[in-house]
This record gives sequence, structure tokens and C-alpha cells, in this order.
Amino acid sequence: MAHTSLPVRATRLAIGPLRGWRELALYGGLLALMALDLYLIFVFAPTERVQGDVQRIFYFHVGSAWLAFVAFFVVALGSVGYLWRRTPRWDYLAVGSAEIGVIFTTLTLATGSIWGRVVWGVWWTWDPRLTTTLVLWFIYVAYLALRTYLDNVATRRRMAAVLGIFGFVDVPIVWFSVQWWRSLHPQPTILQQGGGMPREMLVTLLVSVATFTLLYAVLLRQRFALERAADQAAALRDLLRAQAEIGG
Amino acid sequence: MGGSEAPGFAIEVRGLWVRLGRLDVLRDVTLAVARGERVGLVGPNGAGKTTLLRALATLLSYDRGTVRVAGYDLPRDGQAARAAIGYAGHRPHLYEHLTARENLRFFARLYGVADAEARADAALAAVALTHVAGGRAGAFSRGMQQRLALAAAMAHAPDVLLLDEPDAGLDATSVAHLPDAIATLCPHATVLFSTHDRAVAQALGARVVELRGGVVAKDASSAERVASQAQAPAGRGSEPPSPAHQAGGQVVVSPPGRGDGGQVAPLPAQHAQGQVVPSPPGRGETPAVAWSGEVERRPLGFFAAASALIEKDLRVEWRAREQFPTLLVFTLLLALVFDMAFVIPAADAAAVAAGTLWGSLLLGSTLAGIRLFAAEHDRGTLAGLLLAPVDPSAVFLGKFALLVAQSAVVGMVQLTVLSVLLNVPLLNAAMLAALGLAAVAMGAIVAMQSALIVSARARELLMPLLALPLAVPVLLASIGATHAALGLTPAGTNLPWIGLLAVSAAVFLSLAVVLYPHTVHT
Repeated sequence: MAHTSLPVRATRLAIGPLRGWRELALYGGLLALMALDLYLIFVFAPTERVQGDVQRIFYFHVGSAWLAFVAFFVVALGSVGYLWRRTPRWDYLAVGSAEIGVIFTTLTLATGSIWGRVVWGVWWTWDPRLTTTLVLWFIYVAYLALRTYLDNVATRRRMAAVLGIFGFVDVPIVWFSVQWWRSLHPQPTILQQGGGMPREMLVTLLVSVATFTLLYAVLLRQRFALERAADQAAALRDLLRAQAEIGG
Repeated sequence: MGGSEAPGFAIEVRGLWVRLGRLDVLRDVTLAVARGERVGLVGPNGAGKTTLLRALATLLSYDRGTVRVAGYDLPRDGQAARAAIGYAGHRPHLYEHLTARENLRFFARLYGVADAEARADAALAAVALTHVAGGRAGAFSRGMQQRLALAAAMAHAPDVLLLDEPDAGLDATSVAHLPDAIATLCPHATVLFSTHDRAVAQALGARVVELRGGVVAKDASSAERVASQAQAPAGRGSEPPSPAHQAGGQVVVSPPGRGDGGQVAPLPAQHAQGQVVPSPPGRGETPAVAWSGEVERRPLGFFAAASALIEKDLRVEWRAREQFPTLLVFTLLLALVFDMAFVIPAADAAAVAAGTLWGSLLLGSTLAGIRLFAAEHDRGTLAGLLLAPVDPSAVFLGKFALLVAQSAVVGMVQLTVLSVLLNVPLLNAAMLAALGLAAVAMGAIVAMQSALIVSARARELLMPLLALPLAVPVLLASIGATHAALGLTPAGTNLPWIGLLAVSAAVFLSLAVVLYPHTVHT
């Protein structure tokens, strides 16, 4: 009897050299936006009267935090999608987004810590917003750790998806922690009545957030393609091994 | 509606393809087994016999093909199919701390058998274990455990019996007695079993199907049977499992000799109703009497299943004492370590008491949770539970309830001990309310995370990493509520914390109940 196998779909990998005007526009646009953002942060935005130049870290800090929240939302989205459809691409989306989220939560904590050292005089304080952000970091580090401790691919994807949804419960708690508990951490300034900051600062902040969002999209796209390529490579490797065993 | 309207197949597999990990274990398997027929699967190691049986038992999902068991399409009608399937795998799905009778009674109850007690006794007699009915399964020899596992698979009189190497660990006499046990407990059942010994298959009067490298190597009849059945689809899709007939939401399996519409049932003549079946010679056991009553199966409700599981877990814990005493001593020891690590001024005793109490309780319940799930997973009994036609969320609720009960009792002891040691008035209504809610919230988080990592490497190390960050809101709220109860914060600050605890408990428990089924289906 002829031995056949489930087909391994050969798909074009999205990593490698730039292809076409779309990719050129994407990367070119990101680079241009980053350059503009740096100009706005270091030249256009006014120096804060009390804190001085260190306040400019605010634009990186808020951008990173925003990106991390978006990333963890996408983890939850990918997790729901995987449990619903059971197709690997939802899992690629979740794991890629979780890694980016962890990196940018680390940057949020680091930039916040540097800023806090100058403004509050301490590197760290057990403030509710800081504490819950640290907790958030631990939850998604645990998410990535869980994946490495489960050998079976299907089990790994399923369990990670469940944790991706369960862990996301903590995100709103972090978001609302400032309202719920007395905090040293400032309130969201954009949302305050009458606006809490000069127009130049607000524009710079919004461009920063847009830049970080585009950076996230580009990183996620690459990470998704990498995860898919790794999965296909593993499938091909197993297929070759199985064929070698049958042939032998 | 009787089961004799159309010939039909009890097991119908077309083009089944199962990939485990990245290997194709079954490749385009087609198999048809008529109602009441016995089929023996033979083949070398790795041929795919176990995988096929597990897929039919709903323990494995498959990649391609269609599978129909006892008239139910898998995986769509998995839960209904499970009620009609009896499965005994390589490892006996038995609770070693329960007696043989308790094991059988529990499984019969899970399958909704109305008179579980009588059925358990009949099953014990059929496998010649009546004389050790009160003995713990863990103390049984390999062969006795195998006989008990076979009895457990047949206790609910399944319509389809799937046995993975039923002769493994059995002596020649027990193997010879196996057809009698099947005939006694589920005379109309269709039997599909795997074996390495063709003689065993022949002794069971079975058609032999050979699997090799994940494909059917020898089976002349199945492909034609499936093809001819496809051309005559009359009645398919609406037929109830035969020979059971359904009445008012319950399934009644008739005893031998009643209401069977002439289906294939190649049984020895001595298994007429009420007739004595000889027990294996030389064992000095009570002769088994063929089951003479009807087996009523009523689908078990969600909470009835959860309560059966809680009762079983309590009984196991009472016998084994492997969790609660250790958890209690461990949390007390943690409290002691915390308090010894710091020099506590009398004025700070209340603040320290709050942190000590909730920190030690959380760490203790984290370890207890993983043990609770690991014990079930490692002994193979979790698979036994998943084979039963109960909602997987009921399994979760059972474990969760036990964890909450343990945490609440340990918390009460902690409250008392810390009140005395730190001279802080911790025993009051506000603290008891906080303890109850915190136990529920922590229990939901810990039970969910335990279910996630039960099959992971280094799970005991991974467990705190997963559970503690998620439990931080619960920990903060519990400590806040304790501070308010002890007067460390202004009057009236208690309610928001209790509110946060209640919200956390509700959110985490609801999510866990919804998500748990995703953690168990393979």
C-alpha cells in the first residue's frame, strides 16, 4: 500500500529581502515616522519646567506601555481564535504578540524606573500601577515559560491559548489600578478635563503612540512569518524522518 | 424505536487519519464492525492499534475521516457516544485508595447507572473478584487490577466495548474466562479489542483485522461493507444504539435473551438469564451469576456529576491523607518562617499577620492544587473521568470545590493560630467573609493553572510562576480587607476590598469553568 502523508503546504516566507513597493512603503514609512518622532521628542516638544529634559522619556514610556497593552490584547484575541478555529496561525499571532508585549513591558518598566529615579528619587516604589505592571510582565513571562515546558505541539498551543485568555483578566486591573488605589503614578493626562498638557506635547505624544503602533505591526508581521516558517521546517523535518524510516 | 430496524454498524470508520505530534499514526483507516460483532486488531508495536481505539473512545481527536460509534458521529456527539462506550486501556483507570466495589460503584454512577451498587456487585462477580470486593485496588496484583479495570469498562453495560490488550497481565485462566465476563455484563455489546496474540482473538470468536504502519493491512470485508452501507443509508443518523432502547431520556439495556432483533451475538449458550457462570477454577471464589436485571442509564446532571466526583475525592483523601495534613502543616510552617524572619514590633503585628496569613495560604493552596490534579493525571484516572459522559466542567468543579474546602479549613486554623501567636483579633465575621471569598478566588486560579500544567515538565516549579502573578489582585484585596477588619485603615474601607474579592472570585471561576474543557480534549 502506498504511504502518503498529510500535505505540508509550501508557502512563501515573508522574511528576507524587501519585496515590492508595499514592503518598501511599510519599512520606509516606519523609518520616516521614527525620524519624525525623534525630531518631535527632542526638538519640537517643549522642555518641562520642573523636570527638565528627563521628562522627554515620557514619550517612549507611554508609547511602550500602549504597545504592550495592544500586544496583550492581541494575545487574548489570538488565543480565542485558536480555541475557536484550532488553526495554527492564531497561535502564531498569540505567541508573536506575547513576545513583543513582554519586551515592551520590560521597556515600560525600565523607562519608568529611570524617570522615577529623577522625579521621585527612587528606582522603584510599590505603587499600585508599578506593581500591577510588574505583575503583568510576570504573567506573560509565565505564558512564554509554559510554552517551553509543554513538548506536545497541540497541547502547548491549547494550554497557551487558555492562559492567554485567563491572563488577560489582569490587564484591565492594571489599567484601572490608578483609579482604584491611591497612586503616586500620574493619571492619564490626555483624558483629563481641558487637557493636561500643552498642544506641542500632546502632538508629540500622539505621534509617538502612532510610531510605536506601526513598529508593533511590523514586528508582529515578521514574528508571525518566522513562527510559521519554523513550524513548516519542523513539519518537513518530521516528514523526511518518517519517509526515511519507512524507506529503511 | 428498536435497534433492529436496520442492520447498521456499531463502529464505522472511513478514511481515518490521525497525526500525533508530527507523525501520522493512522493513515486512511477504514473499518466497519457490525452490531454485536467481535473484532480483534492485531499488528506489531506502533501499528496504530491503541491510537485507533483511543480515537474511537473519544480520547483522541483526528485530522481527517469520519468516525461513527454506537450510532453517534464523532466528535460532534462525543458526550452522547461516551455513554454508550466502555473502554479499558493499557493502564487501568482505577483509584488505588478505593476498594474494588467503590471503584465500580463510582464509575457506574458516573455513567448514570440507576442501581450502581447492585451493578458493581454483578461486575465483581463476573470477573471473579467478589471475595476481594472490600480490598483496595492499589493492593491488587497486576492481573486482578486488569480484571477490575475490565469490569469497570463494562459496569454500565456499554453498547460498544473497546479493549486495548485486555489479555495483558492476565493468566491463561482469566483470558479464557474473558468471553464469559463480557457475555455476562454486556451480552449485546460490539467488541473491538487489540491483542498481540491471534489465539486470543480466535478464542474470543473474533474477526481479525491487521494493522501495520498505521494502515489496515488485512481486512477483506470492511471496505466493501462501508461501501455497501453508503449505498443503503436508510435509517442512518437517526438510529439509536442497539440493542439499547431509549425511553424517556434514559437508556435501558435489556438482559440477554430479551428484545434483541437477531443481531450478531456469538455467545456461549450458558449465558441465558440468571444462569450460573463458572468462575476460574482453583481460585475458590464465589461463582458469578449472570446479570439478570435491566441496566438503566440516566444521563447524570452537571451538579450530580460534580457531587459524585467530590465524594470520590473526599473518600480518596480520607484514605490516603496525602494532601490535607501536609497542606495544613506546610502553611503553618510558612507562617512560622515568615514571622521568625522578621523582628515584629507589637504595633506592627496586625500588618504582619495579614501578609503572613494570605501569603502562606496562597503558597499552600498553589502546591495543593497541582497535587490534586497531578495525582489524577499520573495514575491515569483523569482519562477514566474524561471517558465518562459527564461535562468536563463538572470535573473541574469537583476539584475546585475540594481545593476551596481544604483552603477554607486550613485558613480557619491559620486564623486561630495567628490570633494566638501574634495577639491579633483575627476571628471575626469580616475575616470569615474575606476567607470564604479569597478561598473561592484562589481556588479558581490555582485549579485552572494546575489543569494547564499537569502534563508539563517541571510542573511543580512552573506552578507558582503561573498562579502567583494572577493571584496578586486577590492577595492585595485580602490583605486590604484584613487591614480594614483589624482597624489599621479607616472604618468603611472594608467593603471595596470585599467587593474586589467577590468580583475576582466570580470572574476567575466563571472563566475557569468555561475554559477548562479546552484543557482536557486532546
